Amino acid sequence: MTRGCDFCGLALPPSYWGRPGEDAGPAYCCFGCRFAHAVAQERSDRAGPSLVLARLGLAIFFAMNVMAFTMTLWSGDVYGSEPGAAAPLLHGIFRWLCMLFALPVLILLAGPLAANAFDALRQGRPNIDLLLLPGVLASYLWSVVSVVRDDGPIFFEVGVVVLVFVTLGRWLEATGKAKASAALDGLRKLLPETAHVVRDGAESAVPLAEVRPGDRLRVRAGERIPCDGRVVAAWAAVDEQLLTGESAPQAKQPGDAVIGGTLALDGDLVIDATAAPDGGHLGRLIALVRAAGLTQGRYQKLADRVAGRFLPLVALLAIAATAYHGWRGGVPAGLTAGLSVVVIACPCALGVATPLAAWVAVGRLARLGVLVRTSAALERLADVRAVMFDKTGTLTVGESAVTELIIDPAQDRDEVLNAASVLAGASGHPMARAVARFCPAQCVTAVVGMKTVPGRGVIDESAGRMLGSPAWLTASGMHWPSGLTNALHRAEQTGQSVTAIAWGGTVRGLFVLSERLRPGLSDALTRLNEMKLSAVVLTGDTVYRARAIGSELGVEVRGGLLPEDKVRLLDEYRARIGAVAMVGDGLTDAPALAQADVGIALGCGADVARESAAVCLLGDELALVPETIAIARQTVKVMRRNLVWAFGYNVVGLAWACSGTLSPVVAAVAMVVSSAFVIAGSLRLAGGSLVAASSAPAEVVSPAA
Amino acid sequence: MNECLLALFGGLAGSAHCVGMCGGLVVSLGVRGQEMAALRRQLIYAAGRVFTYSFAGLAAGYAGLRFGSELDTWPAGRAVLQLVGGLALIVVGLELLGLLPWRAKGDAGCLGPALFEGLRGSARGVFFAGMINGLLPCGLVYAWLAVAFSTASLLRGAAVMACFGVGTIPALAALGAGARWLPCSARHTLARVGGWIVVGSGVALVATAAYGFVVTPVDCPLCGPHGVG
Repeated sequence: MTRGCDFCGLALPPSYWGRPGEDAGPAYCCFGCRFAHAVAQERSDRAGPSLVLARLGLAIFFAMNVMAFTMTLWSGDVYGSEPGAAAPLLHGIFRWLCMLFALPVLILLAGPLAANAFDALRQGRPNIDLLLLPGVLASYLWSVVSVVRDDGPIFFEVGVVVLVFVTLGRWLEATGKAKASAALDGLRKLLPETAHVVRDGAESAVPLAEVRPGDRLRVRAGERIPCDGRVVAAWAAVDEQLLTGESAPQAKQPGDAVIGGTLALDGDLVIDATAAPDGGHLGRLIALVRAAGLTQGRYQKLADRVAGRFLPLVALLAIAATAYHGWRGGVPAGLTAGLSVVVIACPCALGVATPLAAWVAVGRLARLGVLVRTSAALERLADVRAVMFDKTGTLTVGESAVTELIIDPAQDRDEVLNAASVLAGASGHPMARAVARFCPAQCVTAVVGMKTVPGRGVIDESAGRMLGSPAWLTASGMHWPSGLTNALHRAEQTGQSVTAIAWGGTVRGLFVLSERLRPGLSDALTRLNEMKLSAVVLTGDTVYRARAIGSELGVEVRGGLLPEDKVRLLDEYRARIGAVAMVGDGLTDAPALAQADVGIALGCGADVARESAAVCLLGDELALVPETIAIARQTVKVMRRNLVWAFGYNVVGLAWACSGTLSPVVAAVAMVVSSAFVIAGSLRLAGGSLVAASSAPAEVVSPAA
Repeated sequence: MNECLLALFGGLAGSAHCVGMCGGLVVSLGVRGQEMAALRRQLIYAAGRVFTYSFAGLAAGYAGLRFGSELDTWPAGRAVLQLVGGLALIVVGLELLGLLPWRAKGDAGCLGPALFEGLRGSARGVFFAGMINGLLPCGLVYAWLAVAFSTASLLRGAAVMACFGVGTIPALAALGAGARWLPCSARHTLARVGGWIVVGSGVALVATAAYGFVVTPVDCPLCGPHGVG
């Protein structure tokens, strides 16, 4: 990874000849960042006026005067109608005044610009200012000579306006980049600004940065916990939804761990900090989001490739335009044409066209509780045509429960329950857990030699006992007593899940399970449908059950699938419809998530480092799936628009400037407008819900007042 | 010079609007307690504002001059400019009074506030802060710029805007220096009066333009010269 700019954090352009070790000093991606950094530093160093800005203010003052005198010279309005000798005298005086007011602007603004250009040159990153400066200097020099000789045209206003607008424009860009960068760190806002530290029995408010591991902190009801820690006194319900996805408030008592950034709801807590505020769970999350922002998507790679060839191209064009127009129309015409080429060229619009949009979107998604691991994933998400849901653990709420136990009349009920609880205890599958909960706990005895067969069930090989799907038991040669077969058919026809237990060649009992579908699921599916995305639910349940779910939800449900079937089906859909996103819990369906164009894992808040999917929902709010896709689509739209604008603007602008009919003054204004367009478009991504949804949890970010 | 007098009164009467829009800015300049120091500071700030207005007026006058010279073939070119300026004044005046179905959206941009924040702290910066304040979007300013445009003269354009700026000084400087401003109801009345003055100025300008059309034999650009043998 290349080094980031010291102000905005954007990756620096590659160094052509600077040696890595020489990068010790501050490095900025552009003059604007250097300028903005100076302003920001001054502000933090001391309260009071900014000298850097005062220089800019003074330069603007002089520039306005130069423009006023220039307009007077152009129009001849003030003295033109005066007959006699006064007119030439006044004309000469105004020329001198122009020069007098223009020179300070050169000193005030060209100095810092030159310093930045030479620093960049030393670090091996030549930039466009290296072309700008000679142009401005030459226009000044020519005008000064004209004034002194009292002959020939002057164009101080060109240099003055270019300097002022370039400074303003670069500063504007840097401000926009810093804003986008701040959006990337939006999760940091979950932390309070100060923490109440208890030392020697006395409590004092200290800035968050001074909190160290081991400090004892008090957190009042309604406040956010400043860092990871362990409760030492008192108790409170803590809202951890944003970071762990756990929607119900968690009761915390002495000895419990708490996470920085979570909200103490109803009581005061005293905690011992176990990590610094920037470390810990939230710190890791912020670092992941930032890392995602710094990765390059395909659009950015494209922009970078072009930007790399941009500078030499502009240099060639500028020299050619200067030479041609200088030869045709004299030195002033050549100088203004060359300067126009350099000023209108806006590599910045190219440079910030995509990363800014990606940053703002990634930051916004993080605040919604969606972690996108790379910019490329965001771009792929926008291309998705179908969304597949893995049913188990994704569409059903919590865990299913056993509603009925059907036993072969010849069988002892307690024996079946005992055997089932032993087998179920060995598996983490939701159905096995439901069986385990159903069975009385006291009869469990530890057994070795258990084996889980993915997608099928559990087998105790020593005793030859099996718990799992009826199909598997049949395939294993188990005999079905007629009573159980009828019950099985009944259950399957109503679409209920069944798990069966068997040993000694005979099926002994059936557990009929029912599950509740997640609330908000049908809304999410409707919205996906509105977005013209095909939604498909994949499940390992029987075809009957799949049909029942399908008719309940109104979507296509494919049942009776083993993990490898899911992967095969995914490929089939991709070939038929297009890019596919797979939504799952990231545990049982890891292969399918990895195989999909974009894997979306639910409920990974507790374990964000899990690398199972490109997109992780910290919670399990399904409404975020369409919202995330909508934001991704919007982001890619903005990226494309920015790129088209940046390319189009540069091509048209450069062509116009090369023709020699574009005034550098107009070019300077156009350059600022172009940057502002790109930046404003990207920053707008930060606001508002894109999907008209009432249930989208956009409010969860608002820190407690 | 009657536009200048009009602009001066327009500025004075428009003060109620200014206090609403820019009052917060002048109060933020600070210096509590010492009234003379605060007043001096406010005046330097106001000078910065008037400087920007004058510059804008000069530019508008220049634009009017260039535009007018394009209209040279029309005998009533000057009257056309006045008509444009007068209509602009009427529109802005009605907008200030809230009588138009739409509302103008003011967007101060994102650099203006940053520049202003950085500059307002000291006597050195306060003039520049005033300059930046003068660049903030404002319907009243645009209205008087239209008048400056209609003068078709650099000096007169600058003078109109300078007079407007000077007219706004008393209310804003007094407010910034700690004076207690009028009660809300009086302010409301004054704001309406200011709005009507802008409209009235527009009507006056349009009337002048109409008079210009009457006294000058107008050659219709489509059907050629008429009358006057």
